[in-house]
Amino acid sequence: MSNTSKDLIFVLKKEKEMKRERLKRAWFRFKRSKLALTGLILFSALLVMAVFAESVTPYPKHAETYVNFKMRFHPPDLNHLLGTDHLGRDILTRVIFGFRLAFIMIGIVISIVLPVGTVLGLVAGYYKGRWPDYAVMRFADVFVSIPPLILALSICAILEPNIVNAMIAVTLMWWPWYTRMVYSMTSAIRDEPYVWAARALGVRDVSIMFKEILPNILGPVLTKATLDAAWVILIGSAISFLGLGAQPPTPDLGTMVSEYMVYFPRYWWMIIGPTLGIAVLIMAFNLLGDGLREVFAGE
Amino acid sequence: MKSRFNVLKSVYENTVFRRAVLSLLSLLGLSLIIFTLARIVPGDPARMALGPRAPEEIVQKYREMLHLNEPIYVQYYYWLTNLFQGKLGISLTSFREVSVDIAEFLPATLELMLFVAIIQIAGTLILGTLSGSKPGSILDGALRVFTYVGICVPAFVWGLILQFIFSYVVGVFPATERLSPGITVPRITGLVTVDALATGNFRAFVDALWHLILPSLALALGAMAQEARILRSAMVENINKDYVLTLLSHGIPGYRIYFKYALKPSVASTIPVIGLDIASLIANAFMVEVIFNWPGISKFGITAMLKKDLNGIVGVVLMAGLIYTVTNVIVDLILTIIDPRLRYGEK
Repeated sequence: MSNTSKDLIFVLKKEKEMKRERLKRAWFRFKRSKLALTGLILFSALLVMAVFAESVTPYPKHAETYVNFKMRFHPPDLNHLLGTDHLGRDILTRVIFGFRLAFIMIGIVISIVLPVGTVLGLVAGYYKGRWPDYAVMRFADVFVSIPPLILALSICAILEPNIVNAMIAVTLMWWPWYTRMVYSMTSAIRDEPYVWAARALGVRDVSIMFKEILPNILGPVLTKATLDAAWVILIGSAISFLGLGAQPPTPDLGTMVSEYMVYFPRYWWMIIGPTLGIAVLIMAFNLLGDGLREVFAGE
Repeated sequence: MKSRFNVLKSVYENTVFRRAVLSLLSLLGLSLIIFTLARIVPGDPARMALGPRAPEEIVQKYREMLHLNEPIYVQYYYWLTNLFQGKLGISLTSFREVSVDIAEFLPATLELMLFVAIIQIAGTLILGTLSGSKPGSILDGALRVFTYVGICVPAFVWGLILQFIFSYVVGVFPATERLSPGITVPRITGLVTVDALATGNFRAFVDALWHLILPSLALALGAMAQEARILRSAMVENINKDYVLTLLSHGIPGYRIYFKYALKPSVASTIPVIGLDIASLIANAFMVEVIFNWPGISKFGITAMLKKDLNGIVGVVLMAGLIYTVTNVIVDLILTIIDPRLRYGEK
């Protein structure tokens, strides 16, 4: 009796050690790539700036409604690193608040799309060739038969152009891509011997899906989520840029581009802040995603 | 008799054919979704179309005319039968049939897409082959940097950058519109370059081409960078194979090896990506057309969306879905021509 419990404790300890070892190795693979490390640093810096936007920015009041006509169209200098806009607001401040909005959008979209898309893909892939497969995948096909941007724009327009609806629209557009990816991976894995073994032992389908198959596909899915965060920023800013997302006093990066474009050739510095902001955000997520891909590819 | 049966069988087993049918069914699903969305949204389409001061009886009559009093599936049936006759309803922004509006604005976008596709394919093949044939060269390094920049910069930002540099600072290319003021081309196909050539107006042709360059570059650059990168990595794999070494030892000039014998097997992995990017142009054009004031589908689409013109929105969505789907099917066909393994599905 005591012997078996000792063995069990030993096994558990060993498992814990192995987990730590695997994490260590993953971190090693990640930090081997300089680009991935740059991505992580950039991402953390942006996230910290976004979370503490009120204390980081020089003029937190300038984010939304604030007017100071004396300071309008002020070119970049030491007080206003990116200059001021047509209402005299500090553009750097607004860009940092824009980061916050972008992170909120990514967080909400990914945290809905990732579980929903993954579960649907798992179910459809596991029951390949039966009705859940056809029901889910044909429904997903409908959303894939049009570029995401156009349907997202239309959904925003039909509902009401604001940032919440922009998030809803992007979420609605995004799940099929996860579902399709998880579907193809699941339908390949479901014929592996260990899945057959689990089935022969009488393990329930749900357990097989979530305990046997899911851990094996989680890596690529998480990588895709990171890379897709960049696409969420792109699509979100495009929606706002076209006037169907966040509306003017909101410090959204895409909205700012369209707001400042009007004054473009003459007051050229206004456009630099928000466009650079979008580019840096997208770059951070892409570098991070590339790093994650290498981590999971090495396993 | 038997051979004919085999032909039929192979058509059915043809994955391209099957996928084409499935995509058409998806489009039907898309129409159902967008129609339902446009009808369940609060607001009275009849009241919106006639304005707040129209008398109630007329609004009622209009409702009956459009079958707005009937259940939604009956409405969908009427709408669908109209759709197959090419009728999408009256636009609230232009007060014309939506299909007429789309027919007017679409050619400008198609012309842009065509031009982008040419630039994109040519650029991908040249950049990808050159940097793939000599990994580690200066061009290869430059392409790597260009790829990262290309991914990070959205098309509308490319548009702004190009417009700023080439039309405001340097002043080489025009900033907006399709033709310079004073130059007109009679509308035959709607594609200005084609119309100009057809009427023999060479000056207008050059002018139209000149106007096309900046918006096309803005759309092409980002995607081109990624495609060239994919082609490059396939190329790097192939140039180390024995057959390339054999060709080299036989004294066949390098450019012919790289641009012909090594390119052919390498390009197969790039074509699906190029195809998807070209199909997505119908959406990306929305961002760039706004900057260059291009009188394309985005001009109609965005106005319809901002004014909540439901018929217009539904029309734009269906048109975009159709173009996207058809482009994808064409790409599938091209792929099967290039790679015979794909012609029939897995056995």
